[in-house]
Amino acid sequence: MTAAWLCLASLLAVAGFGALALAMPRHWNEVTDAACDVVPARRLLHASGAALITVSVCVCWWRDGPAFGSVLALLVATAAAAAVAQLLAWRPHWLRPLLAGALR
Amino acid sequence: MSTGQAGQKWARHRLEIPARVLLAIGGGYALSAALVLAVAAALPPMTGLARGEAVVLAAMLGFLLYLGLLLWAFAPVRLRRVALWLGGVPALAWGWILWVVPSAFS
Amino acid sequence: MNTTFRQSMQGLHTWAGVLLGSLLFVIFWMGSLSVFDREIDRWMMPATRLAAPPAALALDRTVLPAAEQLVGRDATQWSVNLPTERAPMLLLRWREGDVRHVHHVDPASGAVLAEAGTLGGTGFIFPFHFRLHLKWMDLGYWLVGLAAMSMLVLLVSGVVMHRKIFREFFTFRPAKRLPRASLDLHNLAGVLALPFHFLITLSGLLIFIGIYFPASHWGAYGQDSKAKDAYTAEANGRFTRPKLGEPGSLASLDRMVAQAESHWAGERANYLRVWHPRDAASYVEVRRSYANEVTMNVDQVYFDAASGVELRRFEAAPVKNVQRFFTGLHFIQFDHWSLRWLYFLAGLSGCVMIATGFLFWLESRRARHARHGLAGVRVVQALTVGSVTGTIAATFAFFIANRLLGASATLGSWDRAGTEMAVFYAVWVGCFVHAALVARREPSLGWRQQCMAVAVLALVAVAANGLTTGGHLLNTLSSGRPSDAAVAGVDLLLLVSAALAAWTARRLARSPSPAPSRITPARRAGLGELA
Repeated sequence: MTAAWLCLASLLAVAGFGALALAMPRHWNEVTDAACDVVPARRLLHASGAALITVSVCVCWWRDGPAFGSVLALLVATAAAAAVAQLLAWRPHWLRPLLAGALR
Repeated sequence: MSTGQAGQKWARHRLEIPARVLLAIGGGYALSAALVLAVAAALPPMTGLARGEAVVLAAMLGFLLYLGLLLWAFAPVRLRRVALWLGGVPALAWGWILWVVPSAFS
Repeated sequence: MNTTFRQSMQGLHTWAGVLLGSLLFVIFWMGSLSVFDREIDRWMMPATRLAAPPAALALDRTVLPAAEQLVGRDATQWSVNLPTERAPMLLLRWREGDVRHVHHVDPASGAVLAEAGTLGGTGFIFPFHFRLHLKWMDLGYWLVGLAAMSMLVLLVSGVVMHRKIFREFFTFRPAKRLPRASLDLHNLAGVLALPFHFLITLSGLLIFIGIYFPASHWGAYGQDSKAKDAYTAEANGRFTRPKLGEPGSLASLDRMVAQAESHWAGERANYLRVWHPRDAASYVEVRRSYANEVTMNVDQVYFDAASGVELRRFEAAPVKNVQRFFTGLHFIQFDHWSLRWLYFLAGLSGCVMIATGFLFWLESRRARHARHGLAGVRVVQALTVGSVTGTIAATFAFFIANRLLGASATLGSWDRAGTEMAVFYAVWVGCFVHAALVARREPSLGWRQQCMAVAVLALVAVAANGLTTGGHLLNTLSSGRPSDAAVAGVDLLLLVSAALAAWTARRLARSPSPAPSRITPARRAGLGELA
């Protein structure tokens, strides 16, 4: 059960950081093969990214309490951001599913 | 001018960087340690905090103070000021701690 | 003064990084391994690969006889670490003069296990991390303290000088040339894990407030030794009473532990210490386990040894608890496997941050130093290769020596534990020498050759474990015992290291630094902009 919560927190964090990354033109273009200077739905991406990360933190608190949960949330966030950076470097198209939310 | 040569423009003479290093590491530590001692002594009468607690609190904050002093010593501040605050002041402080304070109590 | 704050911080970051980066890498490497120091112990001390400890410990039956038989008359104290899942044996320790004695006792049967003949992860790797095995005048502690403060300075100055910290938050361009790719990775490893790096460094310093600010109590308590004792007793709970010089007995340890645990609302004890053994004034100290909270508590209960009467109970006050919370954040002695793995990866990201910092400095200065005939790049290259790949190679050689040397092997006056350490230092020095000799030739040759050496050593270590203990992956992965899972974990990480080292060697072979003639003035200005 606790493994499931950890997976959920991790996926939420990856999605959240992915959304924040997509809000930047450079990464938007990498993922969508476009060439724009301003990302459409930038505000939505920022807001949803922040929201997803916040929920991820709350899941960590729920799973492990305030002390362990805070430490876990911090490290999960670090790992998630690193995962997003590596995905953008090696397999940017894998982040396309995040666009489904942004485009509509 | 490449930004990599910032050190040469900022240091007036060749001994300035070693001087700052010594003042930062040695003097910064001496000043931090003196302030830790002083704060730990002042907190209990001022705030009612227990002595043991005050010492731990002051020591923990001491590291952050030392960090600030280390950064400040290498900032665009004149060497004279760095030498005063990280050289003169800690020397006076420790002179007072080591000689004046014990004789006042004995 | 016509330098900006940002420029001065950039200069500070570069100089501090080049001068202290090697020491910082070693500290981060040994620290990352220390996350799994108990697991490395299981790998290096096959006799301790026991079954999970029994829930009910019978200390009077298992510990007392061993202590009575083994602890010398001159010992002023002896202690027992109670078994945990990660360290499933009783650890009996005492000191006679300068000599430290360590014995492992099986918690189920009370049998004293064969001497480990090694310092292992907890005895070599972990102390290396915080005092570099330099005991003369506490030089090791002070060097590590200096390195830690420099790390904080490096982190702050790194943030100050990083103009595009948000824009380049996720930027990694591995396909670009080595200076750009390594700077990207350096920034990534530094910025994404910035909270971890700052907290782990600060918390490491906070553990040792007593060592790094030894005069901190002078103002509040006074400067003499009685003042120091008063401070230690009030803040850390230390209870002392002098020896009587008359013989005394030791009552039931199990009953003392049970009584201590009754004060701790279900939490168990993890440590006992008997002061003034065999004396009438002997007393027993019992401490509480760290398993279930971040804070590394200092809860203690003291008992009169002969009668078992409780003498003193101590729990830390709030501010002391904050210091112990940070201590616990750093030591991670709690039971939490996902956090343990995340800490390990974050620590390794620190190693990557330091190594890529060096790589960037070397590659972006190589052309200029070659043109001006400066030796800086060659010297730093040799030191970097020796301290990065050399440290890793020396560590794996240490593991191999542990498996291949017999338990009673000696080298001159060194026992096997000493010989293992000698192997570590010999390989380490050898790597520096190799790096220096190779530095004049193609720049990446030293890296590549040592990366391949690391890969080979890792594979030999895994094979050595399988051949000398029978605890190879096929056995350990299917056994179900925690200590076997530990051994499997170490073997698997060694295999992953071999793969990563081999991949790195190939990657470095494919991207040589640009030849000097190809750096046009425009390009040079561009590279300067990168820093």
